[in-house]
Amino acid sequence: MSYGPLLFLGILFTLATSWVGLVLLPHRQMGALGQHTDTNTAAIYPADRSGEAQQGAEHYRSLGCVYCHTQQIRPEGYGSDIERGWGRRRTVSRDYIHDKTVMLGTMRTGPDLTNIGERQADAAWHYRHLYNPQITSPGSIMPPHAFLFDVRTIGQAGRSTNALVLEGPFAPPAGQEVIPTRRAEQLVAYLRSLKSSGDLPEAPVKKEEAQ
Amino acid sequence: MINQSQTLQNKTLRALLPGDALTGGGTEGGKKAALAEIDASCRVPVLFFFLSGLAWLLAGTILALVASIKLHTPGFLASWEWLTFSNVRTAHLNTVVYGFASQISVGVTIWLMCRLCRIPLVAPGLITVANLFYNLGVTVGVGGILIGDSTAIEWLEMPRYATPILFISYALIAVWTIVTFRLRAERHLYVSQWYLLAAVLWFPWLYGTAQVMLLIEPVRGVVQAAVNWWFAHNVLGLWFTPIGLASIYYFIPKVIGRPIHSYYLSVLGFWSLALFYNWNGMHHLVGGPLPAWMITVSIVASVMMLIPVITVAINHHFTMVGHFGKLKYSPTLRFMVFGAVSYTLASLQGVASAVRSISEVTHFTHHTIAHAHLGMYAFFTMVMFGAMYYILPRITQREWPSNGLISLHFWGVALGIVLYVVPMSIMGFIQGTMLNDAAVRFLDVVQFTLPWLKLRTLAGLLLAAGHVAFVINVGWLLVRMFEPYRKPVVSILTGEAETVAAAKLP
Amino acid sequence: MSNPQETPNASSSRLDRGENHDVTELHAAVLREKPDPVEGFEPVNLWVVAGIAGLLFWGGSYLTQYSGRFEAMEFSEFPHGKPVPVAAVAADPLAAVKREGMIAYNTVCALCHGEDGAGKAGVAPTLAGSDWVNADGPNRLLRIVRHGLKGTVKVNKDVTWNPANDAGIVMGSQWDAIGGTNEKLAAVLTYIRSSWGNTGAAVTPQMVADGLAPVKDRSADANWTQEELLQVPAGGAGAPAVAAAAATPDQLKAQLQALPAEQRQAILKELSK
Repeated sequence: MSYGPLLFLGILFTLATSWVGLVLLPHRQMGALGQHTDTNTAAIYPADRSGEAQQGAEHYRSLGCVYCHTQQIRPEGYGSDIERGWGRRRTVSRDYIHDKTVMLGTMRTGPDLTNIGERQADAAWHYRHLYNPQITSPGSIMPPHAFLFDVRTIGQAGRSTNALVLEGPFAPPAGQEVIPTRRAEQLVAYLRSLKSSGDLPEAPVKKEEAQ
Repeated sequence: MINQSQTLQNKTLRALLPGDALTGGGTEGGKKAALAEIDASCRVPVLFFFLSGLAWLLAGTILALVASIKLHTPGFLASWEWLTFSNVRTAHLNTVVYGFASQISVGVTIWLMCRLCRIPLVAPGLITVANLFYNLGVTVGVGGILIGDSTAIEWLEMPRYATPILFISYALIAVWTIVTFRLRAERHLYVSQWYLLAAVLWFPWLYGTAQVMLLIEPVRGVVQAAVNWWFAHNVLGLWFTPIGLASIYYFIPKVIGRPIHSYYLSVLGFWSLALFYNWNGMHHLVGGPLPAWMITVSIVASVMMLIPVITVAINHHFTMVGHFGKLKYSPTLRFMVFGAVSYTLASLQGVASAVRSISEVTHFTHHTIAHAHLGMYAFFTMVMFGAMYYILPRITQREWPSNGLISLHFWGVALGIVLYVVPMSIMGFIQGTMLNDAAVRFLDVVQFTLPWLKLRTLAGLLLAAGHVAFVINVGWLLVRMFEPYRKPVVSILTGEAETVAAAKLP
Repeated sequence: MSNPQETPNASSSRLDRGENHDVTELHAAVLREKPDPVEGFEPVNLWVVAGIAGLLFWGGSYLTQYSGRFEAMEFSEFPHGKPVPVAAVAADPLAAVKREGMIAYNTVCALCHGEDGAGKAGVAPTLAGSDWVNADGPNRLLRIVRHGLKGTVKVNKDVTWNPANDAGIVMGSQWDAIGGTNEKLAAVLTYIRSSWGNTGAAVTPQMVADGLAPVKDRSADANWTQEELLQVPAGGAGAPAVAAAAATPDQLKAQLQALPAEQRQAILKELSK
């Protein structure tokens, strides 16, 4: 096989097959997916993300949360994602159309976060967890993100309303309080916006008794 | 540095020798002279790539150790934002993949292409520019990652402002390879040249597509994931694997002085790899939010990879069989054989992990990380070490100063990588089984992984020791380069040895 | 030591330092090098060919079966439903429900109430052997999980717990965390009421729906207090409301309103006779 041009053509052709099949074709098939409107409730899914949450998504990206947390639910009966309550249905392509950077993740050093906005809507929990994961999840190996918070002296007016409630070894020194920075607020807004249980024709949620 | 008059002088000298000094006929001395001339012409460009690659290896090793420690001791260096686990892990990956592995790849490619095409290095200026761009790109890219500009797209984390710099470098290398190919003096194409040519053409295509569709004009939704894993997997399969295989195909028969077992298996292996490997990418997304057909197609392609893998394994094994005794004398051979066996094992593990029922267990666990290191380190890096052990004495015209450091290097990294990959693969499998049992609390799974992660840090220390030993040896070799050449006395004990004991030098 | 090869005058020919004019005096590495590799021509083993054929056959068949007809919106490789293995008959018909409840409990509740239900001092009261848990019916438990709890609570009549613990953290609504459905709540309570020596009866989703019906408009932030909860009858299979002694008219009214509609109508009808 010493004929250069033949080799060259073969090399180009073989990569071209997957370039067309796995890159261009899917782009044609799925590159323009839109939101779905529920015929009964007129709810639009996936819902638009607020500006704060979009900023939070940028912080999620830059902090590299994706390297320990996934954002994809596998089908029922495959793995234990749904059984663990991480989601009510598997995730599909339409769930990600609003993500500027799709961060599916490949490692579950920490739990999946696809529906963390449904599972844990309490902002205070998120702030405590980010400040030091040992507070809410003893034994976790998630590193503390204290740099997302400011430790300030309590002012004349008393404790700030958004100061973290901390106790014991996690509490700041006396007379000081821990306040989330803008970055922390936006990140938590993003986390609380993570909800992927909308009913879709291609991925219906198993019908439960209406509440 | 070879200049015009030097080349002319060597050409004249060669012309005075009877016969064609290049292929068939001609004196042994003439042939060797040609080889020496090629080696000398490669000296500076290849050294640039090797030395900068090794510098990045040291940086990447330190980052690896820090990342490994952080995973079992999350408080370690936790107060610096730029040193979060995510940043360190990402910087480690980009440093070792783009800073170290790719640069050594280019150095080996240059030397192999010159040797196999039988012409001295052409256009050294082009290579030098490529190298400068390369190191600039990696520096800017890794710096960008550490300040928080990582794109969070695996294997493409360098920020938008760094990747075009690297793209230019890769494009220049591709151009150089094609020029060398066109100017070749040897018409017959040896199997290594197919792989090298393919790798050097495939990579800029992959990199360009990924940059356009993920960074410059990001596509919408999960198509990003499809492009991401098409790119990332093909960096392994279409850039590193061919260069690794090209090296094994050259160095094993070269060192033992035997032909490759079967030309037909070589052809079969090459084309089946070219056809199937590039379709594998979606096996990183089994169970994920992609249409079933994409996942299935990648699983089929992954299992089809058994064809090239077994073909190549047969070819290499039957070439080596009967000559395993030579492993004692040749560090090149040791690293190459270790790498070749690891290639087969890594590929078999990869095929298994792609199948849905096994992916159900191993996906999202440390098993994947172990597999990545089995492929990138136990296969690719070991092969590159072997290549460097062969190439460096020839381009510097000096012998390795210390056999002891060579042994320390080999045993350090061999034991280190085995201690890394085997426990982590087992642990990942158990971790996956525990995760799939919803009755097991997540935090309990995390606690289970901790002792194994500490074992990994220990393995990392062994790897680091090996790297330091190698870099010291290389540095020492370079110092020797500035001393006058001294013909070494070959010890009678090491008859066919690749290296000469330092103590024996006059 | 004398060096047999002196470096020649390098300046005129611009040789690298250490190289030699004499091209036959090559460095040792190149000298001992073996010739460049060539390819042998062993034929391909027939077993390899057979293996390849087998793999191609497998690949084709797998591709046909599991490709979801190559459609963009077909995510399951089993478009006609995954073949479900015949489930074994459980010895305990409630086993599946209890397991579901255990999983949710371990994920959400165990961090404060402990995996053994023993609670944690200053954090959360015990659930094992608690009179709240072992009451006839689950109506109070439903409300605690649905809307949260605040203020002091007396468990087993003698131990006082303050959910607003030292850190001021109240037990908020856990409805979303456990999954946000009647089925999930029923499963969790069934699990709690049948574990660690507890003797409460199982809770069905219907009981959850009925029990929460009167308060379905209550905000999830409106945590219950012990006083409010004690006005609510614990309920239970067929158990009519039990009025607390010396209740005020307002408390009686609240109790009446907490009853299922049918029972309320029946009582009012009786009273108006």
